[in-house]
Amino acid sequence: MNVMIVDDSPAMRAFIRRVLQLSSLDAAVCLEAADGEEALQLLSANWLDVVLTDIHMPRMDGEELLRRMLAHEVWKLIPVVVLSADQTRERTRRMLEMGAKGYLSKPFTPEKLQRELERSLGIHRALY
Amino acid sequence: MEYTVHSTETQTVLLSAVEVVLETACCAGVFESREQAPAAGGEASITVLVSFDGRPSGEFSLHVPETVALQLAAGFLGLDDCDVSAAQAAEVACELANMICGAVLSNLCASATFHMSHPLLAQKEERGADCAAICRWFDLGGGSLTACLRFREAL
Repeated sequence: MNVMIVDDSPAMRAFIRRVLQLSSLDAAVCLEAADGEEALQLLSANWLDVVLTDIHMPRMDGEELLRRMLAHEVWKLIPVVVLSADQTRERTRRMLEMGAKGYLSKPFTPEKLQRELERSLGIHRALY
Repeated sequence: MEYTVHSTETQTVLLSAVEVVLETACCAGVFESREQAPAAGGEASITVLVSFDGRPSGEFSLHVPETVALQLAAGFLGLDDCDVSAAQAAEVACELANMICGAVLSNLCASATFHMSHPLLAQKEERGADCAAICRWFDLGGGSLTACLRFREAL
């Protein structure tokens, strides 16, 4: 599975990468981007199975990244899971309504991440 | 001046949020202390502030000795204590403050909309004179962690 982690905090990206490694998921490729703009650059050069993105980021936030991905002919096929410490619901609900496939509140265990990714990828495969 | 706010629900939520976040993110077992541990003379420490706007508005602060911050960062990053830099410890403390604040607000006011600021490192543990504060103290073996919620209006 090819995964991209989008978060402006290097420490948080390291945490998510560690949790991915501790899960039973086989993350063969794990790319990292510090914001939506970097994520779009990586998307244009790599095929990904899933994108894990924070919401609040400088330059381009998670909501705009999702909007750009959904407007793209190929990238709209890649499931996006929203990760946020801001657990109040409005923005998360908006992103799920826009087309994000899942949501996890930070922090999360390897088991929770695995369940959410399997669920999101399962929904995605059923749709496409 | 420190205010005493009698809000059992808020205290319980703050306690739970700190325990859950530290255990999940850092694999750290924490024990609540009844009172603030005296600061060791000259010991470096980290204070992180996260302000939030909504109903209610206020500020969350996390205060840890640097030795404890290094331990927490090692757990968070999956590194040995000796491989963690002071900058990484500060960055992880910011992330922990952000997650604890988010967990507290979502539990206290699930349907409300808040704007949380980016976590900021403070020079010292600052307390706003016009705020009502709820503080909890935790023993992490190597030192004590203080988590405080300050609301701009009384609960």
